[in-house]
Amino acid sequence: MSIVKMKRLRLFALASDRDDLFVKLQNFGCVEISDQSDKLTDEQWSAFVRPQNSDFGENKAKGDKIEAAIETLNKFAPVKSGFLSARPSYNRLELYDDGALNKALAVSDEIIERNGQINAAFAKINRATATRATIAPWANVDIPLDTTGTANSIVRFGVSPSTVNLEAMKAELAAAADAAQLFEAGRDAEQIYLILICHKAQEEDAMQAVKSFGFGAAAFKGVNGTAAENLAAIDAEIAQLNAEKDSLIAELAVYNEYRDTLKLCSDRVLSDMRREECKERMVGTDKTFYLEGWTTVNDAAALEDILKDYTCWWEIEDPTEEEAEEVPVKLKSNKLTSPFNMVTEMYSLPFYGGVDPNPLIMPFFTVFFGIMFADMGYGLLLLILGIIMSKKMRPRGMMKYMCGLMKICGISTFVFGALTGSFFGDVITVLSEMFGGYVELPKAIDALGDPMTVLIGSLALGVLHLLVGLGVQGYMLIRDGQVKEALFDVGTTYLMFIGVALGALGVTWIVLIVAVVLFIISQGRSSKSIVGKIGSGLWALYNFITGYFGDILSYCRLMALMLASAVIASVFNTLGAMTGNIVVFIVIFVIGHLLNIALNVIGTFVHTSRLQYLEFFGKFYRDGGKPFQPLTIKTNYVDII
Amino acid sequence: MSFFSDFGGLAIGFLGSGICAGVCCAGSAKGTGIAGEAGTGLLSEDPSQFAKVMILQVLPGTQGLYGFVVWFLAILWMGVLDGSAVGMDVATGLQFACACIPMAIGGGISAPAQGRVAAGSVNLLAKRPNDWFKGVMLCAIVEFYAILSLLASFIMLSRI
Repeated sequence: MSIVKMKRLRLFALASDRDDLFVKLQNFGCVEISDQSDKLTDEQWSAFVRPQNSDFGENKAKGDKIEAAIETLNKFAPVKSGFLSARPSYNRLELYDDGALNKALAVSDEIIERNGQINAAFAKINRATATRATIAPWANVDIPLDTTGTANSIVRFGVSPSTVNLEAMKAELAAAADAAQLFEAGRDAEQIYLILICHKAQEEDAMQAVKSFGFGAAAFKGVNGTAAENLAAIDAEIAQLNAEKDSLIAELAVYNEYRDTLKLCSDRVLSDMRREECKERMVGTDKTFYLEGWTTVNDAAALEDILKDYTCWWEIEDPTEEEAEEVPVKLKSNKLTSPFNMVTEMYSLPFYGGVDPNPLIMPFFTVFFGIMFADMGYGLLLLILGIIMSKKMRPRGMMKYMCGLMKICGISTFVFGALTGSFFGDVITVLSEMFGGYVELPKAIDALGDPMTVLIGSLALGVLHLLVGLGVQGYMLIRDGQVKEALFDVGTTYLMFIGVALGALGVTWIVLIVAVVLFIISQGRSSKSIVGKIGSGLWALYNFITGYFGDILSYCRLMALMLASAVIASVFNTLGAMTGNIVVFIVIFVIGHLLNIALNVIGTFVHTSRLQYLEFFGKFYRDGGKPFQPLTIKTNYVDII
Repeated sequence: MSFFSDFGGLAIGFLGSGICAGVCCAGSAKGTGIAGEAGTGLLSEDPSQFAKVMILQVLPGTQGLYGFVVWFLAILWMGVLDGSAVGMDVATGLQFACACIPMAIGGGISAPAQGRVAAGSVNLLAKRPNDWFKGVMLCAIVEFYAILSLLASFIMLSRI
């Protein structure tokens, strides 16, 4: 429930042990390896250390190849995966099986070759289709397209823009050359397809006449025979190419039996890449290497057990004060708080010397989410979906946190739904009215009828939230030995709130007056002159009042979102009931509530998070921690057990 | 004059609630339009992102729904659906019309604004697919003001 303590590892070892040791470290999974490239320019080191070589590039090439094969399979021979299916599990022996890797690489080569053939077939089909498009307009012409003329006449195929007036063109031609004739073979939106026949002696005159109408020769490269013959031949060719392509694609399905192997090996290469990449972060000589990194306090003993089998020198120490900025951060969470990593990680991890915010935001996040969503039906749906997803998918990382949040927030949504008497809005009441009765769920808080109570409750919770945040700030100050600051900054603020509370309750205003005076005095302490002290004290008071006023009012969003989801839910219920038909009611009910849930779950999550990030974290949080990223086996497709 | 006092209230109520529904829907159409346009750009490169693009596109669509909700509650409470609205006096009609104003303005203006954030989030999705949810969160910030408008209208309507 706190930030895990880290230890600094420094290690000199033999280059011959390097690969073996790294496999062990990766399986151990608790050492983060730091980048040492700055040693290469360091005067004391640069004389004898060099960067380390690695097989990263080679492994990357393998990985790219397998990925390309998987992508090809997904494209041409997709396999339907079940809804919410879990990843397959393998053990480490299976992961590092070289036989499987070689097989996967060989299969990948074949698949990539097939992919090349398929693409070539597609290219041929495209070419044939393009040729067909140039010939198709001449389909009605029954002379061969390669005809150029007879002994005394010439034949020219050509096109003019469709905007040309064909009659005018023919008249112009007749005037220029009397032994010439123009035939229309066809036309489409852009062009008129024309055949010009004329006597050889008049070729020039005739051509000149038609060219003024945009007549351009149509090129039929390598085409013999009539258009109809050619079209038939091309159609046959396209059909054959399509069949060829289809059979190539069908053959790819054979490789689906290797799909799992490919995925396993893709992950194996990925973990090899991670290991090689870490090797590049070190420096070394011909025979030795130097490694610097981090491990957790709890894993230090196990790490020493691994290292003592090798000829090496190491040192595992607590980080020094100056190193605090670099120490990676890992949050120690239990089952209940770990889902809140999602919220914390989305913001930024805490600074190593800070506090773990997860246990602090857990109660508030849960309650706020429940208040904003507040519906028994919605809560149950969230809870059930969370349970099903975590059972079926065995999710990892963010997804796992999300499932946990869905379960916790589902329960709190249900609880607040029960308090406000809300089950899919007011569906029970609406349905009972539809059948002539009147049933109302009991409610402790009537959100729609008495929003004022909800508003005041929201603001009161807000004050509590802010005071807890401030308390954490005080704790951190006292822990770091700054008792005076804690008393001046946090203590006076608390006193102000107590004063306001006592005054508002009608007991006494004296506490508040004392608190304000103390606040002004304590906040002005850094200024030198009396005027400066009073001025900066008053300025701090002004900032304090406006700041807290804004912060507290911000919690009215608890009420706003609670009412908004309830209003929309009840409108859909009323809409459905108005039809008087139970089938139509169910349709409107399902669609409407799904829409309402989808909209509000996002809104609720965002605004619950925002209250943590801005109002709560603003009081105490120091962010900027780098996440602890040990060398581990990270996978995309499979789980390693 | 007697015609106006007999039927004017209902007409004014219709005017206010109708403008509310119409303006909110127009705003949402504009917002989803902006987001959808950006979405087609990404989809032409990577059709597999369809689900995420669609989520981003529908986000500015909620204002239309809110406008519809306010319109519906207004005509429900005016008594249009059960016929009791006939002969509503002008003062009541004006009250209904005025209560719809926050939603009409808030929804109609926030939807295109949210649409632009959603369009930006589509770009975010294209460049950093893993961070797309942050874009959704940015959209939800704009959404909040539409929710406040909805509430303002709702609370006023429920007190008439």
